[in-house]
Amino acid sequence: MNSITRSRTLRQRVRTAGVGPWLLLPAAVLLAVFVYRPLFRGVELSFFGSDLIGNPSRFVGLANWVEFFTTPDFQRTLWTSLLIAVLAMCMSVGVALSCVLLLRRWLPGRGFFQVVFSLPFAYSAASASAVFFGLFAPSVGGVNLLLDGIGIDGPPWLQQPAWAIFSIAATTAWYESGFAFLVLIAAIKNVPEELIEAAELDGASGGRLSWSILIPLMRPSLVFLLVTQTISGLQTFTQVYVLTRGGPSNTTTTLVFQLYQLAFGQGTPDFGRASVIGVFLVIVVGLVTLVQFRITHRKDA
Amino acid sequence: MVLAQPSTPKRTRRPAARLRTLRAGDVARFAVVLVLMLLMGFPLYMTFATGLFPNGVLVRSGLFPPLNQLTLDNVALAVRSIPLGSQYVVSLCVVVIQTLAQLVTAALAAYALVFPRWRGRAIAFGLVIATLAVPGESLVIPNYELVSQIGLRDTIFGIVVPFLAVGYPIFLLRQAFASLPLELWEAARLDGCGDVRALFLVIMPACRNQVTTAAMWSALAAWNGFFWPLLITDSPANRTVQVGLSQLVTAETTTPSVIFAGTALVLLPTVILVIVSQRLLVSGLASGAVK
Amino acid sequence: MKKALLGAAAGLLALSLAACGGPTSTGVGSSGAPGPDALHDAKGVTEITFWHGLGGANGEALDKLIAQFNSENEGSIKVDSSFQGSYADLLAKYTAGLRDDSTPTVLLAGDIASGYLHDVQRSVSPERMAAANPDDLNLDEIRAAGTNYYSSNGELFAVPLNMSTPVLWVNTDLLAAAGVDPQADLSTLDDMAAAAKKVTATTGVAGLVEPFDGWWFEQLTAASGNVYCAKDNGRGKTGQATSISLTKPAQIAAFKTVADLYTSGAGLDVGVDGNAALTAFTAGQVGMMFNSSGAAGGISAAKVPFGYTAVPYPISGDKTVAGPVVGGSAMWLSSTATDAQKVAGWKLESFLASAQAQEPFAQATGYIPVNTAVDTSSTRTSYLQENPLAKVFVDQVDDAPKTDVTAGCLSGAMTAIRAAVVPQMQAAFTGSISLDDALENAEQAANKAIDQYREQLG
Repeated sequence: MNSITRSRTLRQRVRTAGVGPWLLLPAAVLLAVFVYRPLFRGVELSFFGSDLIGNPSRFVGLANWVEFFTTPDFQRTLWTSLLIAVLAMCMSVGVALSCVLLLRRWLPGRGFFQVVFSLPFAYSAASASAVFFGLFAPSVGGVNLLLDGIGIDGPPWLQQPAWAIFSIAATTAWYESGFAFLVLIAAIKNVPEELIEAAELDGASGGRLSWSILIPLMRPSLVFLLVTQTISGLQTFTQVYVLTRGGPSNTTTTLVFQLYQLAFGQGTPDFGRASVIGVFLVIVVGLVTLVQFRITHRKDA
Repeated sequence: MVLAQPSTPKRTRRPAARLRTLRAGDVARFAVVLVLMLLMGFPLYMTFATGLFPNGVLVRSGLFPPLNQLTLDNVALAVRSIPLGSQYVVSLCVVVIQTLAQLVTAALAAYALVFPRWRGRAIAFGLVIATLAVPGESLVIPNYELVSQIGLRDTIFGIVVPFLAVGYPIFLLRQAFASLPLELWEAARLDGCGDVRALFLVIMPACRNQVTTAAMWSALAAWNGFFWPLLITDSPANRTVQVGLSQLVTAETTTPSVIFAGTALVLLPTVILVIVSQRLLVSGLASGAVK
Repeated sequence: MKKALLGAAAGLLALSLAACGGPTSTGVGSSGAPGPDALHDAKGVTEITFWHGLGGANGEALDKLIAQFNSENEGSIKVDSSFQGSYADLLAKYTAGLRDDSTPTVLLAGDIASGYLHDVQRSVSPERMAAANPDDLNLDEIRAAGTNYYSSNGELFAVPLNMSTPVLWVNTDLLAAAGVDPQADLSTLDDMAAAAKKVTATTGVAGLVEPFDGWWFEQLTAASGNVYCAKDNGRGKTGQATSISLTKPAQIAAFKTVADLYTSGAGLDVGVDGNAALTAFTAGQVGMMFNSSGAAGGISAAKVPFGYTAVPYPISGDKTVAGPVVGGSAMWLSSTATDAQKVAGWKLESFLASAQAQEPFAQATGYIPVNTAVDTSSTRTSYLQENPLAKVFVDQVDDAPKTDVTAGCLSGAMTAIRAAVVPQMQAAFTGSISLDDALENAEQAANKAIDQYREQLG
């Protein structure tokens, strides 16, 4: 055997087998137990009615599913979740994009502005909701104080259905804008300098430059943000739990909040009906993810 | 105009010198940015200012109260109303355990998915990636059944156990490992390193940035987690700070100032993190986050 | 390799699906009632757990009693008492405890949890414990209204610890300005409504505030002489409550009277929160307030600059059956505890419900003493002379007829029923929909909740 073949054999030996593949086991087991098993169990639970403490006790087949899709409650909950998701996503990405584009060229204090715009990233859903709970409080909340200062009467932010939905979406948009800002800053940094200079030499400036050059080049990041924020918007729970508890009169109940109500929030737990919502969510999120996959990968073709 | 996408972005010269000339449009731009900053920064200001003054003072004095009224009473009350102290400890434990566990399992998994060749490697990777599309809330009820049966209800370990291995860090590290030159790994193995030593002594150090990004992602997710900790714990002292905040909001004896004080206390670590690691955050997001 | 991994995963899946069929379902616990020997024969200190939802000053008063009990029984019984947050949190924790067998020996549960706890059947009957332990609590001493509330089919299922009653709080200055005499003109619902309108007309201030909590609609129903749920409010031989009833004529009239106040501007809307109503009352923003007798402490602490008093809840129906429903909480003894623990738990319940504990507890908290032996003590008589409002409360509870109507609805679905009824009533009171539509919607939604509950009951 000459040295080349010897090293090739050595390489092959090094590459194949050994203990290597088994290193996947811890993660595989954990994912199997805590992600895949619950997926199947959730489907199983959705076919059962519960007893007084939540255990599946009666096989009811598709009854829970039929009930879920035919009650007006379902349509309202779905609509609320969609509305909050889309509103929040538009506001968050809109503001973040504007900030990023406005700060692209130098301004005095730009570093400071960047820090402020990215700070909402430090907030979790719970802390942002706690803060906005205080800000939206009737008459003594910060928002109404500001409005009073310029002579406008603040609406009942959390007590009226339409405003309550807006308030939840605004809270979500605010704390998600931090992450969006950071992602878009990174995206715009990746736009090659020569392109911008060439465009400016051609006479494009400000708005036109942004619209026809920058935004298209930031497309992957924008799509990423749009999709992930819509998905997480569909799963809104914390903001509803802290700000309105689903009220007023169940008008801000989202899908996940209803799941919580059915399984943990109303005296006698009903794991069967709640699991229907869980499985439905998997389907919806899966579909949206598939759509995102198609969009991003079709473009690269 | 034809846009030819260059292969790598290049910077020809420092842009600062040329861009520092102020034009007329810049004044308008500055004004808009200022307004945006005031709007977006308002909740930030209120978070930290309201908690430092007695209840109602901020309201009555038009948002800029005299500094001689500064007080830490609200903070003290927040710490007492919910046991914020022990909740902080719980949250810290959760962050440490979850981050370490996720990093270790992800490193091991990513290694197995990149370097050794074996049949089914692609399918296994697909199964891992598929978990990214599963919303956590859908798994909550069956996991609740399981975790309470094991007897881990209302414990720190119960909070952590469903998240000891999750898909996203595995994905991040897998991409990082895959971008390394194969020779690096081969050399380590030829030198006599077993798989585990190769992983921790050679591969991981070579991907320091991505490992840091994965660690930060895990830590942040652990700190911010709400739904699962809410359900699996019920004693106030065993809950995380995020859940504690939600209880503070509805507690009978709290006033708005106390809520803000408690929130500010919970936010301190992440706020400091964001301020201090601006560059790292941006580069971390640019390099691997966007698929 | 792939096969091995998939095989392992599939095996794990199957294993855990099989193993995790869930804990044992709600069996009928052993409701055997041990006698005092079980405790005497037990070696060492018998430790028991006690969960409650009383916070603030009331919680402190309870803690004092627990400490007293512990010191009196040192060496034989030790009580570990813990505050579990609101009654809702307490119940959620108890339900979770049922799943993994970590329930407390004695549970102090809110009044509306009674139906659920009764159905879950994890508690020992107080009557059997009293029969087996004749030296402890004498059930005849429990105030009749409490026995009425916490009984089903004539049998007591829990021992009340604290009792409150709904009253009409009155700002006497405002009413005097409107020419209304609180003692004479507020005994019926219509009188009260007229007075409220007068207050608004003459002073411009709202006449009445009622929190939109479900309790108040149940009170309006009971005061109109109707049961809230069929049949017999869920308390008779026919067993479970089967449906809710919101459309009896007297009931609708009662709802209409109050709704009318709101839509005509004489009512103040503070949402569902009783504390918000209290704040408005103490700020002088309203002439009269429906609130619990327990609000006395908060009002006196606010040191209001105006005169105030409390008058009995206005009745709108036949006085021989109609009256207010008591509120509060009661103690449930776990049937899955050991015999020694059961006896120890019964001793704790007996102590907490005894006259010697109830008297200081009632004074400290403003609750009505559940033990009638307190009424005859001299200290109590002088206390009542100094605190006439306390006398108003206890008289109302004693004078009300003890019927199914005044016992309130017993149903495990009460939480869901309230969740169904309250949004509808709220919409009606604020004028968004007509009262008739609201009542119909509420009935439908509440009946659905009852049906679902009965399905779960099996």
